Amino acid sequence: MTPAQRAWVRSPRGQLSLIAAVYAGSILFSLGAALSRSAVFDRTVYESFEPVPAHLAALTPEQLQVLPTEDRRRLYGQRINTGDGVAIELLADRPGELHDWLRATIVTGSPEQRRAATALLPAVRDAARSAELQQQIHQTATYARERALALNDAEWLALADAVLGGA
Amino acid sequence: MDSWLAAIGLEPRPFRALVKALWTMDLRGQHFAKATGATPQMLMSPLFWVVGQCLTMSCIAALVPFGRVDLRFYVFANLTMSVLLLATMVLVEFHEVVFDPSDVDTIRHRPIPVRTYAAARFTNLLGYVALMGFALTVFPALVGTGLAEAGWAYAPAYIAAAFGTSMTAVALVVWAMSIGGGLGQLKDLLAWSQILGILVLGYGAQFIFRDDSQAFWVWAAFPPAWRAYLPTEQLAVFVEQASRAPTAAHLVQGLALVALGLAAGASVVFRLRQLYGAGQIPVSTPERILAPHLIGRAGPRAFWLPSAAERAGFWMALRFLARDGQLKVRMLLPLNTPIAVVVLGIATDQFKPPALSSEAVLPLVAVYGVVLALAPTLYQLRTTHTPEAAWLLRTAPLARPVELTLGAGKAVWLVVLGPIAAALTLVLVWQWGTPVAAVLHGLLAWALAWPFALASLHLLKRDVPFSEGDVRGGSIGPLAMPMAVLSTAAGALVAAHAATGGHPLFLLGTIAAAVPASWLLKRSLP
Repeated sequence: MTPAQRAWVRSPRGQLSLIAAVYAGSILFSLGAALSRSAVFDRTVYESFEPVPAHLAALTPEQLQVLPTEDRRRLYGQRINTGDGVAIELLADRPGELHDWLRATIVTGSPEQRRAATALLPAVRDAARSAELQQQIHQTATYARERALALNDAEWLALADAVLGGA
Repeated sequence: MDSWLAAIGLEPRPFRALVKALWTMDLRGQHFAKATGATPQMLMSPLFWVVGQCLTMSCIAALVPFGRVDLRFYVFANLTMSVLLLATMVLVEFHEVVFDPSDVDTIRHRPIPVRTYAAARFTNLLGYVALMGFALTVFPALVGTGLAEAGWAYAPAYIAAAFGTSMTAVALVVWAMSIGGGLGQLKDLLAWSQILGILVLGYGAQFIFRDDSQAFWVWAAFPPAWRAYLPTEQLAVFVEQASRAPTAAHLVQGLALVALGLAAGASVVFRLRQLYGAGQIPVSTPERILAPHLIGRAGPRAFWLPSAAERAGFWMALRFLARDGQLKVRMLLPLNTPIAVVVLGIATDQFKPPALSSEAVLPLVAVYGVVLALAPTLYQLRTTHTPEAAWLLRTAPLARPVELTLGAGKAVWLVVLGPIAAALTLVLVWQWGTPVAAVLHGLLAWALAWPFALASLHLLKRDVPFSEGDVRGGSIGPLAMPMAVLSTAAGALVAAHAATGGHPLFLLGTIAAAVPASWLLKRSLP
């Protein structure tokens, strides 16, 4: 940069031009981000889980109950992602823990993950003993219903209605 | 233009000249430098960096939740952040962009009507607010249009809400500041809060993505009841409803928000005219002048200040901290990381005790962040913006000049780090519910900080305190290597801490070990 260019950049006119250029770039960047939601952002918004190791593939319900939380969460993730029916056995002694996971998936998961999590809510509701947990499950289902309505997701809406209708 | 200005009672020529002069001062001025770290030699003006800071924070806040949260929380988060930042900036720059006491001396003898001067000042303020407001609004207003729930009315509704809240916040700040008489050195702390804000957002975005429990997003989706009482939440409801199904009622509400913003602006013009008309000048508290009976008396006599040099250092540090806002900010900068970690740990529910969770990293980072904070503050004590009298210290008949630094360091350890460690203890009691563990961790943070600071004196070039002016890069550059060594030692302690699960015996043993370690490190200083 020559001294003359440097002097121009440091002048009020140069500084205002720089700020204007940065603002113009911000507008272009913002519009680009808004237009690329489905192409970029929606593909990155999903809940990720650790893969299930081989030794967890065939466990009895009794063995499942004594698994550490990390392994139970892996099995939960497998159920959410593939529909493999392991998570139901986890309900017996810890419905609160499973509800927390389902709630997080409904909030942050992909459309498929959100539907899978909402489909599991009735089972958690049936296993829940405390009124507080029942209320939390109702709140979660209500949230799912409102989001499904806002996003025009009819399948998700039907699943959420099934939870609320059966309460 | 001139005829229009004359029609509203302004004198066109002085008005234009004043507006041009005020903008030139804004673009060349260094009063934003405290918030940005910019210096006069840099190609970009400090104002440019302030705009950059606003755009950075706005960009992060607009992109991180994009596609992850519902429209209401998206609007709430962005509006809240932008209004807080804008209010902070006007607070910090009040005397530069709203009411500069030195202007009275500059223009008093010139035939400029008060009305014209107040209008020029307001135009300058409006330009400043527009510059920052645009930077804080452009990302959420445009990126938000891509949200799945957003309709065509989203952007106009968001802009109306942002305009109304921003102008109201600015008007409230102007009225409060002009009635309250200024904030004095608190302005420096608020400038620091901007830097802390960026740090919280930067770290926060990383922790949010790494948190398997998705605590932040769940909190956003299921808000606590108090959020409904916040004005920005009410405005978020307005934007959400207007965006989904706009009606005539929403148009009226949007226009009412614009009218609110205009009314707030008019109230600022009215107040400025009042202030300049009456010649009222809200000024900062003057620097404290030493009372005659205190001259020659150095610090309290106490067993923990065994020598006269330490007492003198202790006394000087307290005086300098009381009168030098920049020094206070430099003392607080090393605490950015632990404070940001505490905020994020609580916000994301990752602040569990080490004994309960093997993933309880954040409380340990906060505790040992405080441990590491005293060493850089001890180094910062070298500098002041008035170092001219340092020859008195350098020529004083002291057997161990380093004792001046030790005394000054003890003052910082007591009055800066003490309250921080106490606050950390209270936060831990609140979060953990186990007062004994919380007190032991707070005590550990405070007690270990002193031997770490003493170790830093072995690793750094030593000089008497308050003897050097600020130089570019001097505040952190020489600290890099010593802090790397100290961080390695702290890392080893964190590993041992985590391995024992924060067992009380480990905590008590470490606190007890700090005493002989400090004695040895102090004794080995020249």
